[in-house]
Amino acid sequence: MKTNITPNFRGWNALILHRKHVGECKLAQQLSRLGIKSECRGINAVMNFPQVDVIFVDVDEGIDEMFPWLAGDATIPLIGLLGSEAPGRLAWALSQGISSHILKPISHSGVFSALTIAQHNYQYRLNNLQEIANLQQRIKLRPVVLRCILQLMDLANIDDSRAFMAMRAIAMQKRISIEELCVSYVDDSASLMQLYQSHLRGDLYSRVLK
Amino acid sequence: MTTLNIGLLFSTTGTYQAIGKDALNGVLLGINQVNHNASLALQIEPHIQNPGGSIEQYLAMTDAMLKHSNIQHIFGTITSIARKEVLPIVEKHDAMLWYLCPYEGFECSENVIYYGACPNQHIVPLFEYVLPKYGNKAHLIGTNYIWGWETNRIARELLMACGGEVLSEKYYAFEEFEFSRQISEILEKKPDFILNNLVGSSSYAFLQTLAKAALQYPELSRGKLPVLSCNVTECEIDKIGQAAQGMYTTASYFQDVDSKENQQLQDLAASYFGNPIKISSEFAAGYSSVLMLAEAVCEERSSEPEMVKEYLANHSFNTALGQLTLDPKTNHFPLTPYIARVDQGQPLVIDQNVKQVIADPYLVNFNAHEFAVKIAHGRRKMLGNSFLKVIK
Repeated sequence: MKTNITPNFRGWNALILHRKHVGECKLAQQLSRLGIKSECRGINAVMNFPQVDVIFVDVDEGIDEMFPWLAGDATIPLIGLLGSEAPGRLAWALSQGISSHILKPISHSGVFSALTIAQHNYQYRLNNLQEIANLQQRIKLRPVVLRCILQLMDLANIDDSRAFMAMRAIAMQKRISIEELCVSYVDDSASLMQLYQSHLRGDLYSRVLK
Repeated sequence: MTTLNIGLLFSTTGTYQAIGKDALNGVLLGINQVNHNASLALQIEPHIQNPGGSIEQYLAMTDAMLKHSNIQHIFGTITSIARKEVLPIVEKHDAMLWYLCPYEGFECSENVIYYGACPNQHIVPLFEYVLPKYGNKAHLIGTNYIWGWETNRIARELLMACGGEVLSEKYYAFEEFEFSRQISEILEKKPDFILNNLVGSSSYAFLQTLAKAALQYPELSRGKLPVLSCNVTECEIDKIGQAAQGMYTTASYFQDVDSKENQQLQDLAASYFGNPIKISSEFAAGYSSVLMLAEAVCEERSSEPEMVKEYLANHSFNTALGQLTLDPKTNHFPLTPYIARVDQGQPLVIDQNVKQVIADPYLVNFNAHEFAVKIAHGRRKMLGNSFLKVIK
């Protein structure tokens, strides 16, 4: 069974973008209990944006272009502080890519769970974005794979399925994607043929062993 | 003379009535002390409510006390379910809940005085004592709610940190009494120890079933298979009976603690109740918390929760639980995590010289590596500092 490790935010720095108010003091106090240093700034103060691990932003007064990144491309987890539930404000929060939220009035409960959920969601989103970028790159290289397979079919006088299986087996052996392998060998007939022959010798060798 | 109304919300009937009665008795003894103290211009008027373990009753009674009885301070709730249910109402009224029981942590309300131990004050020190001595393969059992789940989750995390293993983990409803399948599983898996986080009568039934099975299977006897608890105190030992013999438990107070304040409390309780009685950490905490409240109200001339809290954070109190000052950062008290082994119906403290531990309800300062090193060091000490074991 997987162990759920206790989330620990000791040593984190947080930025609270909200006009100063008793609620934000409570938030700062609760963050301090969790080992997090925080700084509270007004919503418009985006100059000298500090290096922090998490941002709490007032969704009621949040404005476009308040962060030094494009909307939705936050480089750290954003936690929305929600008072109004007007659809326009919620849409703004979603457009910024908030990872979790706390309802106002801010009390001492809810901060730990908001941080835990935000950290999880932010990491999950990052992993997904990375995976999507990786898959998009591979899709872009489909024509290269196709050309390489056609070249191998022609060179080795084999059908498409044998050519593809050979390239896929080689890629797996080298622990790279078939796209990466094809990029290295496409339009280089001599190297491609050499690669295929050494693959066949490897196959023969493993058959002898059996 | 000022009169202070306080609410006492303890379940003195139902599955965990033994704890409820003991905590209530402690608070009532404290009230009696205050009301008979001529130097305090204060009379405390208790409003006693018995929710009988029903969550709906906890809610209704809290609401009624805060709305209609001119009450700002409520002492009570035993389980975390009850505390979490009443907390929003207490916060809404900006009142104060005095919580006296050990709990699973991860909470820090401005409207609660946490007088019970949190995990770094109970399970962490208990494991630091037990794991080097008995090993790190555990059978976890608990009541099916947040106390059992979360304390066992922390136990699992601690065990993983030092290369241990959870061989099995089971949860039961509050009023479950049938544990024969558990016994079979324990016999089959052969854990180094059992961590029992069951609550109330279900816990007593489990321990009794285990003790009965030990007559047939000596490997289940306490000498060979220790049972640990983070919440069993003196007030429940009689209900468990002989089956409690040899079990380990941890608390911030035991009757066996060697201190002047403890002796005074026991003498006072004996004279109030007419004969010597068993006193638990909930009793001792209940008693001293009323004295703290009374002193704060008299000195501050206010019963406003914020003023009371500030007074508690700026003054030191001599109690049977030690010299205490409220930590304003967490609203918890620093407590002494004593470990005791039950012998002849009485938990006997293993080390009287344990140091107070500051509450860390979110385990912010817990370091898994340091914990593992501590366990390994303890293990080496148990083996007599010998890394090599002679096998004949």
